[in-house]
Amino acid sequence: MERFCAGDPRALEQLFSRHAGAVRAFLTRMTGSAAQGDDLTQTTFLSVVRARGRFHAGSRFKPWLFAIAANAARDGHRRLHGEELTATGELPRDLAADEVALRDAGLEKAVREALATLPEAQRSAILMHRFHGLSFAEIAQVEGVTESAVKVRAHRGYEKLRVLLEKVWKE
Amino acid sequence: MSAGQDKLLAVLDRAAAQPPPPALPSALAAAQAELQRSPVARGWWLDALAIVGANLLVCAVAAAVFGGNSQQHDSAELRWAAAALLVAVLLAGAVAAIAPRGRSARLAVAALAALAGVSAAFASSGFDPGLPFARGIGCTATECVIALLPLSVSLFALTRFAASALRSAVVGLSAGAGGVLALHLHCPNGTLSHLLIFHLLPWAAIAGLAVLVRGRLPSASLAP
Repeated sequence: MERFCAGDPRALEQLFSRHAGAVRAFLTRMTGSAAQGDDLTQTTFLSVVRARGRFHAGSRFKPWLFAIAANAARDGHRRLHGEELTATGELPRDLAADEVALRDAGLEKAVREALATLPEAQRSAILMHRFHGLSFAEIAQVEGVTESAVKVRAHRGYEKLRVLLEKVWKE
Repeated sequence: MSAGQDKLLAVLDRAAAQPPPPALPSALAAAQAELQRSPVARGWWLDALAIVGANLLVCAVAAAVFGGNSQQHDSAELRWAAAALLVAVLLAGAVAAIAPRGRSARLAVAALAALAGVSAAFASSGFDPGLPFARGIGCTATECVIALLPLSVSLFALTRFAASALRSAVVGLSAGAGGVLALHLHCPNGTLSHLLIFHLLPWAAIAGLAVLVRGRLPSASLAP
């Protein structure tokens, strides 16, 4: 990070290769769209470059990066046209049909659809906690809320997912 | 942990174990181009310094133009105690609003501003100079004019990162504190109704305006 903050392009390339895939996966799951995930990944790394003077030296880069990505997802969500959201404000479940074939496409589809039904705050907390390994304390730092609030969001989200995904492990 | 919870976590872990999508060469190229455009990282403290500078400049000009008047206050001690709190909001607010971390500091500045307002009202002498009540709008106009430069500098600085209502409110309180301070030291009207309606309420309105305006401005980056 120090070299990157000093303007070293190779340091940027290293950070990008280490984290861009995870950021892209996070944003794709947050928005329900691979195309929007790609756009917001670019937005995220542009923000990282422009605001690197705000990075607190010595702290972990990943929570800061995911804070930017979460802001990008929220910003992208606000720009979505009304007709692209369901009547209850949820993400449409069919926008990610252009996803690359995965080892377990059926599972990924079921998880993606279940995640899409969650409110944004719960979805974000679960993605960062379960899919990207951030601790609740780090997620609290990312979202600018207390750790208790993050735990409540995650707990409620997990409960909803458990009900929605029960049929997956019963099959 | 229940069996259902165990199974849920196992399902989520299987989904999370899917191979991540490949990195995007176009996103990297865009980031590299941006890095080339500005190879030196801009320290956040530069913006804080600019806001503090703008605040101090308008306070110095206001002090030179208006001078002082002690009729508003009951005692010199209360007068200067409230003034000190206003200066603290003016300076600390500028830094707390811009600093990358420090949510607690921003909340502390908001509490400090409330205390400064209460102190300014508490310090009032009740002296009525006998002018029509509506003439108080001149005080409000003065406060808004004094806040204009620091507020503009502050809002511009805030667009360098993601919008936050708390940061915007704190920067509004900081920008407005200069005008409140000028009126606190100059305005001869010591009636509580005048202070509340024409000094303190506009201060809160400036903070609210900062939140509204910042919410509508584009952000150069989405960093916290």
